[in-house]
Amino acid sequence: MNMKLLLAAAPLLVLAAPATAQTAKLDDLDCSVRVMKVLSGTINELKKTTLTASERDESTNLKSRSDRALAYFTGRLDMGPKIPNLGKEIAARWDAAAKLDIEVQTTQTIQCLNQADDNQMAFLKSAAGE
Amino acid sequence: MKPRSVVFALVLAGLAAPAVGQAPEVAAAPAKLSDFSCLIRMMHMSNLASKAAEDSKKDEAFRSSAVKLEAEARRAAYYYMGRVGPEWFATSRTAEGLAEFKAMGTMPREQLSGEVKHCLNGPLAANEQMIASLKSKPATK
Repeated sequence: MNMKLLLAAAPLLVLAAPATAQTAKLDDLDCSVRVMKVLSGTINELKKTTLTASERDESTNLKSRSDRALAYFTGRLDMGPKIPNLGKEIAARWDAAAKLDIEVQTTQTIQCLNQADDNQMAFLKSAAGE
Repeated sequence: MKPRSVVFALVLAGLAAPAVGQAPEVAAAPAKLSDFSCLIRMMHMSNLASKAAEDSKKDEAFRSSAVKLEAEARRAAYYYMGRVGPEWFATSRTAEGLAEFKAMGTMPREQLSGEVKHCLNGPLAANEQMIASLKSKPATK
């Protein structure tokens, strides 16, 4: 995944979330794979010694966000029916996602990240009695 | 030391890596806990750990452990949010949340510590399974 494209697109796609949500039907495993790709990408990005402080901050924030989102979708998967051959299924979804245009990958990934964040907001509102 | 701080210290001690040849501490099996019960405990624990991580009176090793615990508790909270699901949060859960906090405040601290560790373990195992499958794939495209 092109991390620079994802980082650059993130603020705009957050604003456009209602529209992008209609562009793809992704299940919890699809989203797990997409946030895993981001997590992996940010971990590799952070190993680079050439990053500026700003780039490092952005990658660190995206790593935290994708780490939380992966935990969220892992919880969703644990609540659903067991997936036979989970490892093979993840590999198949991973390869399928990798064949998509990079812009589509980026849009879908941010859609998944937003979904996890939206659920946290729903929890906070629910806890606050709203 | 405040009771909540004692619980935090007990959990932190329980998470510390055991010495070679030493069996890991086994927490007493807690009563059946709902996902929401675990979610509240993980939110509470991540807040305690966050404060502990910034406590300048503590040494570096303690604060480092607190940072790790905060990350694990926060990740676990997200896991339980996923299990509970957005549908459940569609209505106010203030009363249930307050009841959980009240229950936590009255139970023996060893029991609460055991419950916290129990709630941490499930997400850790599930997360490790997902990460293990990730390691078999190329890093980026």
